[in-house]
Amino acid sequence: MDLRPAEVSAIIKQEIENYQESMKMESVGTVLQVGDGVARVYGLDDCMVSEIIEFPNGVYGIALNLEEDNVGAILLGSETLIKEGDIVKTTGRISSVPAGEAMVGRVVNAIGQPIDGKGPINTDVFRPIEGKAPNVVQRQPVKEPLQTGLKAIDSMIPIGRGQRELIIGDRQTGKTALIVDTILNQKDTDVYCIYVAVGQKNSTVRDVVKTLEEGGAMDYTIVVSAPASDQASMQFIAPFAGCAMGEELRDNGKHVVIFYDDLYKHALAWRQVSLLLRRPPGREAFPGDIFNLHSRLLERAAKLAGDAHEQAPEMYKAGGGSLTALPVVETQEGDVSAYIPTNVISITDGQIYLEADLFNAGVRPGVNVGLSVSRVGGAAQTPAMKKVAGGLRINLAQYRELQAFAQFGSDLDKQTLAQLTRGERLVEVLKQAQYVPMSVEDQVLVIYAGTSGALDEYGPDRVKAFEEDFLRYMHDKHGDVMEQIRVDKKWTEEIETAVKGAIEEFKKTF
Amino acid sequence: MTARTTGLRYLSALFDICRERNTVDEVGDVLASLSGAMKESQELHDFLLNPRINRSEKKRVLLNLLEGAPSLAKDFACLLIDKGREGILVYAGAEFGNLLRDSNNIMIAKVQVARAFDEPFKEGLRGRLANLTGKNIELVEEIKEDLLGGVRVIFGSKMIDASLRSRLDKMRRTLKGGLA
Repeated sequence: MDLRPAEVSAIIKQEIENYQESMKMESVGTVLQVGDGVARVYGLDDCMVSEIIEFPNGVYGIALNLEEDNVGAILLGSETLIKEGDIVKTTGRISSVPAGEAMVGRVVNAIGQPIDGKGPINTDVFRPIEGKAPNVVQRQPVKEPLQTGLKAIDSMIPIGRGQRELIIGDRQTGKTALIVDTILNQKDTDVYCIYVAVGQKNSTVRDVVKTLEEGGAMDYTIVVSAPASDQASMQFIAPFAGCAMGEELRDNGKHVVIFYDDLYKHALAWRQVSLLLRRPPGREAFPGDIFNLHSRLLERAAKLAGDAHEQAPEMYKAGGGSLTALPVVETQEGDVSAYIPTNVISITDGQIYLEADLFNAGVRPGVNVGLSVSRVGGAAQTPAMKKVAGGLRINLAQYRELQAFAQFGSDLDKQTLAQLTRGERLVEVLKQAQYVPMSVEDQVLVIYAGTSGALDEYGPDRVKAFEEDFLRYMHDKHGDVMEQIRVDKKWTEEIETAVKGAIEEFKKTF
Repeated sequence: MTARTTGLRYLSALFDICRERNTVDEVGDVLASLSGAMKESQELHDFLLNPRINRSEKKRVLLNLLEGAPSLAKDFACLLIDKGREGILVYAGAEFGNLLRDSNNIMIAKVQVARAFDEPFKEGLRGRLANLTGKNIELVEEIKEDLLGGVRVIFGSKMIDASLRSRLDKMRRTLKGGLA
């Protein structure tokens, strides 16, 4: 940025000349105690819940507890700048963050201030971090697919725009990798992405941002970062801030997908803040409203009705927008029945369960197909994919069952052997490297090759090579068929015959 | 906070009795001087609040101190010692004063200025504040040089800030851009 001293003093001069003396009565209080990121303030008679209050030295806080003679607030700045007896003012504003399209491409902190060193954000749109979720008539069922670009997910656990799908798994099972792939796959679509990092390492966030930049994905992505080094208060509001930014886009008819990485750490931050504010602890010392905390956050994900803007013009500028939420919950030692995981599982419309054993065995993404479900996404799945991947789930389930028997090494009949062979090939087909999301038509062709048995004659180690060469062959020789699947999204008999023929033809050269 | 709430209950009870017997001012004076003494003399403070010193001993010392005071004040002090609530004595003077002002419809307004100001200004300020709040105003003057100029008035939980310092702060914030 180019700064000239003369310009700066000109601006200040202008500022002084235009300075309007506005004297008004303010509501004030005094700090009773401060520490651990919370403060208790005496006075502030007309303070509102969730109002921003102003401490000295430019520190702000959010009032959360309104008690008989004092107000409990969380601090959004350094507590070392505040001492007992300091004067606190109300601002009359509910905590809000900047929003709008100007945020896209930026990395911001939990209160929407840029932290990527790219200068100020030019937006005059502000949105309260706590928002009302769309009501029943303002919504419509999920109907458009959100492509993750991962074969294992798009085929068996399809996600629709406006859905809430939980990504759950132990540490180091590829949860963040799945998110990054999904973001990369939204390139050249009309979907905006918001990545909210709560309690992550700064270095991890940096890596993600770098990967996104290299993949050209920052052009349509907002990153909201409240790393582990931030106060609990910042980590607590980060998902709500990200959600507010997403809602602003959603209410303007855009499609948004938001990732909360992760809600377990968010729950820990809220527990810390709640206990410091002396709210009574419940199970595992989490406050009683921990369920409500996550459900009111995730309930804001929605597929808006086409006429939402006619029903409530004050809320929506355009209808048909969507906000898809993909929260992440990290489990400890694979315990999905712990408090927070069960809470979030029950709130969301399904979950993608990533298993450490699968991941370590080389099945990446390590999706446990048996435990993963998508309760509403099926309605949004591309017809071609639905047709081709229909038998995939059951095939894999049978394979897993037989696998247990096969380990005894007893003689197996022909049919069982065939099922085992098919299962092995399918597992190979569903493996996918990181940062290479696939288009729908590519996925459909590869999965068809697997489910139709075209791969059975090759060893599992050759599946990868087959996939690559086959797709290259199809793109070269049968571009018209690919185009037809891409545009019509249907799997007709005509296409099936063409693909079958192409596979036979290709096999001669493979 | 809870302790202070309890103290207020004791003091408002005492205040009601004083009003019935028309001894509000006398008792108020005694409590104010007792609280003042406890603030000034750490020894007296520690003596009265020490749980290891027995009650009769404390009462004897207090009664000696309060020689010639209205009997109501003496009884109140002894009651507090019997109930183990000697801590209330520390702020009894201030809180009793607040009760007295409330009942007389008087409000304290803290006026912070950079330099001492003159009597007509005070009169004007008092009149304006009285109009604003509908209460009689008692001004407490406080010199605060870091305000640079202007005046800042705090009454109850309201503040009117017309100091140079706050205006400079506000200007700095608009120039730097802050949290929305």
